[in-house]
Amino acid sequence: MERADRKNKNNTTSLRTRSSSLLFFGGLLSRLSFILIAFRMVFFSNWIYIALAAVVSSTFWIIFSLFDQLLFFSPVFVFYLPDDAVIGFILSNIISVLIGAVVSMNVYVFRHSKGLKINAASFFSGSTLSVLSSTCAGCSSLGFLLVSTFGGLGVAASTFLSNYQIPLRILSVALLIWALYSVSNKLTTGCRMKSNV
Amino acid sequence: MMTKFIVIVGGVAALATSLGFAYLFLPPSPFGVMNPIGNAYAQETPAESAHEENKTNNVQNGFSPISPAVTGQVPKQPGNISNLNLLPQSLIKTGSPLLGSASAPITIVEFGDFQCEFCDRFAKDTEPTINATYIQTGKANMIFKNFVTHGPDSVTAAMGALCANDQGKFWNFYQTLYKNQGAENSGWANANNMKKFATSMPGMNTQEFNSCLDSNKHKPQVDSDNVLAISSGFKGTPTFVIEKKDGSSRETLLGAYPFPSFQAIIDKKLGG
Repeated sequence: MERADRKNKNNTTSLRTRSSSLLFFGGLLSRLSFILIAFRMVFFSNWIYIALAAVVSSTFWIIFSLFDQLLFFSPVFVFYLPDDAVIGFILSNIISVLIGAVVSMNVYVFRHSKGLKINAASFFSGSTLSVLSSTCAGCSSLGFLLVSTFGGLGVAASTFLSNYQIPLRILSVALLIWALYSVSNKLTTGCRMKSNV
Repeated sequence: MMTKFIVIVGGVAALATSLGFAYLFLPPSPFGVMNPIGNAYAQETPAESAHEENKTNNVQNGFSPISPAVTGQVPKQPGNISNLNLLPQSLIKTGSPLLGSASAPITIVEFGDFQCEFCDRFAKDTEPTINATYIQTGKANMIFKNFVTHGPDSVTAAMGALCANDQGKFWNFYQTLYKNQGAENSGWANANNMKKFATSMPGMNTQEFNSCLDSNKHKPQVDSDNVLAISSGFKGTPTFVIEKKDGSSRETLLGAYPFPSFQAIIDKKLGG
């Protein structure tokens, strides 16, 4: 009798887990579809949005590569990728692409949907966090500025930025995905008809 | 609430980034602008000079098979050189760790911090190629100066390296430190670990090393290295000064430049 009860309980728990995971993935898929629809709306509407995204992504890619000390313009033009920089480089590529997409989509929103607010918070915090985290704070001028200006506090700040470089970049990716989702949501919601219309 | 928090974080981050950009693109102060401590560093008492002279003859280059022939005298300074403390022979004379032959026509002076990840990248990726191509062949030598910008553990590591230098083991210690580099100020570069690294090094007199480290013998040297870096207008690590033996044709690189960048500069200097 007890065994049967336990078995029932186990079955219920596993069913609940399955249904919650199904709900989670369903939600995720629906959000992904929002983003894809918004992508199609923006990037298939005019080539200028693709060009804008490409320019912004390239600019940020160059900034990240310069800060990561992977790209050098003088005395000779060199790009090199040492083993220790691979993970950071992959993340900075993702961030560059996301920033390009978010900027381009925000411009589209700004031009086409009067009255809609741009989610500047997640975009700016995502992009600035990623720029900040791509500098080895203590090694660069930024770290030196922090240390020489704020003393012990500067050391702590530079140590934090340096030690949590990868987590900060992951956080940047998350914030930018949020910005992307938010702008996509606004774009697709704007197309829906209101019930009272 | 969350949006406000993110706006504040974003604002602070944007401000810090713009400050960093501004500082990055400010022109470096010209060589030779010395602060009072810097001037003090430039002056040596006769006793100190004699001590440094003795130390120069003991300079060994750790992992380089080339035995350094420290025969060079401080040359007459050409008129265009303003920061005399960066003259290769002057640096060698004051006991700065030297890799390669003292009479090599080109000198690379590295201003580094053992906790800096870009210095680590240089030590692992670029330095071995420079060593094999230019230092082993006698075309260039390398001098290390401390530029501690990463907090208290950097000072300990710098002092440890200079204590190793007293025993002619600087470059072995340099490699060991970068091989064991951990997160900034996490304790990997504290005094206890310095002693452990020294113990694991063959031929190191650990008692001498420990007493050197405990007595902060090289703290003044670390401080004066920092003063030299700041007075030279350097803004981060690693900074490299590449110059001819007489200190002329000086070029500065800030960052972990890859080998082709060094190659371009050194070949140009060797050719000209």
